[in-house]
Amino acid sequence: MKWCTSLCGAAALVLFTSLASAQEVPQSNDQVAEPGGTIPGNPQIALVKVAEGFADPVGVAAAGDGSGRLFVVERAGRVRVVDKDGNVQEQPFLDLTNINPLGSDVQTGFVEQGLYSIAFHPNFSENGYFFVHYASLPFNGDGMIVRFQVDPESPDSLTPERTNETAKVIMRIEQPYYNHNGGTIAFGPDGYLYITSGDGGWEGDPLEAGQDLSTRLGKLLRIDVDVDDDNRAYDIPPDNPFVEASKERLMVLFGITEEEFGRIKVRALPEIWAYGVRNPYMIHFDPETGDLYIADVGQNHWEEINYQPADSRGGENYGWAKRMGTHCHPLTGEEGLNCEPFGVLPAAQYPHQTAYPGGPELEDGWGCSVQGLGVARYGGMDGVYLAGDWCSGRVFGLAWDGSAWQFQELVQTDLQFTAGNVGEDGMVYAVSANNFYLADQGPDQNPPGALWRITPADQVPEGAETARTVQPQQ
Amino acid sequence: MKQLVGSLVLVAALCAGAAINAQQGGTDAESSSTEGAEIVFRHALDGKPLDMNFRPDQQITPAVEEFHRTAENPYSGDEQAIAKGKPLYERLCAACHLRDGTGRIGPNLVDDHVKYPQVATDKGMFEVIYGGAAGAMQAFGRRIDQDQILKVMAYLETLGASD
Repeated sequence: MKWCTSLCGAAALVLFTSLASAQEVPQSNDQVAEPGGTIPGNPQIALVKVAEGFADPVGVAAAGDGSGRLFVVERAGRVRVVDKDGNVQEQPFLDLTNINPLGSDVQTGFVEQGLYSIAFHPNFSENGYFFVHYASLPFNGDGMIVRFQVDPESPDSLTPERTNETAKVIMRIEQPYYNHNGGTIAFGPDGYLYITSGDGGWEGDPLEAGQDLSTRLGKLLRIDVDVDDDNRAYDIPPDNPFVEASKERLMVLFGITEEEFGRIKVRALPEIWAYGVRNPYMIHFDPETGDLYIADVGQNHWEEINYQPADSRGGENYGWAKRMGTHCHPLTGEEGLNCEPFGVLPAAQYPHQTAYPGGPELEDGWGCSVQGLGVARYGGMDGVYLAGDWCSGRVFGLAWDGSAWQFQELVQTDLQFTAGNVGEDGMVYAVSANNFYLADQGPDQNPPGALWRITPADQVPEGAETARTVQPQQ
Repeated sequence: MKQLVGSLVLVAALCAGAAINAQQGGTDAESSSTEGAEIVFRHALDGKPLDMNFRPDQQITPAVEEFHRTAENPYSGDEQAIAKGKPLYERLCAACHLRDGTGRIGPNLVDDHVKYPQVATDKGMFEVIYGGAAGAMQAFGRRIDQDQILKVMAYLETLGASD
């Protein structure tokens, strides 16, 4: 009865596809993925070296102008150009160490300080605008977000004069301590500039910034940098989640519900897009769907990766410092694991070598500093968020399998990942450095770092240098 | 007797010279012969031979030469070497492993739990320090000379790291 077979087959197909759902933000602790899962495609990856010799590389981005260039951020304050053949231009694209006659404009005293990120305006090929985020030496480590403009006659390098001429300060974020300064700035599909800001530093959020809506610290910010008037740094997007909350209005005492009163938060900053983050150094938009991944570096025991769907209206509370992942913070012991949910749960989390005070030392699947790399759609990966770890050299993949998040350790390497991004060719690129919390090093003193292309293991070009990788023990 | 000793010393010196030359000449060729084979230092993560020439300007001291020959740390128990190794440990290792080796961001070096069992030998310990392991356990052979690594290893013994 062939007609039945094909009809039944079609029905089964319809049923199956309707059961498989799109990605969801976890609603309960058990929906948060941990290492040990298997992502669809079970990809085998290798890391092909593209270029090396970078001084403390901590960021990488493409310009989206079709040139195939990659821009590698060096912590000292320089941006290097890598062409599509992997050649590194000797002259920096941007050099913030020599624009200020009194010395470098970049504060690099601590390993978490320096130039963090570069982002190119969505219309960069027309307007030449690009933006950077860095720790300012003159402003004692405050985070500066500054716009510059390329000289069309000199597309691969800005002179100190050009740099100073075109500098427009968009924002200065006061940074009271030298760590947890955030990092990535990135344009969303909506054309707004998203800014990551850490909780201001020390440890454990002593400023209680994560939950405090009156500070820019511990937040994702979202601003509109396309303002006609150069005397205005930026505009607030009208649909930012706390615009209504903090706007000035006439006071009315009666005839308003408690719920409506509850929405008034006069000190909430209208720049805030989301809050309750500790130090989200890397965030990435999925170029295809517009979804947002937030890799938030954790405290002593857990790292987390948050998923924000493209249709989010913002305002999410990611839980810091009451939670880190699904766990209570401060975590005092095993009893604090899988705490009652507070705020929005992450899509995935992974432990440090001890998952709680007094816990056993883990063999695999652990790290200490998550550095998101980007969303991959190749090599069997269909929307996999790749993340590297600064301490353990592991590369993880996060993906939705149709009904749940899966988190899988793909390889362990001898690299210290600091950042990553999708190139114009759609592949995920990662940078690794040789820096860490060592007292006497500086941004130009450490052994140099490198730029890698995450490549399907069976597509490594002959003779290409690859990073050492080992497969995780099963 | 003196002649025998002299010959042995000569042979040893020739072997050491050959070993140093072989290692400095390149690392892709794997040594498969077992007769008089020089020691091949391998990366802890994937077992591939290490580049022994990270710092070409370093002085290859007699202790380093002997170590390449015997895989035993000549500085073991040497008070002067230990005294030199201590400040190196505190500058480069203590940030992660703590001054007493019990570990913070980096693992505990002095308990029974060992990730790379080969560190029970001087060769294995050297390989991990010189060539690195994973992630933040960098290739410290890029930062300090091999002679300095041997001194750090001598100091580590006093903490109880290779028991």
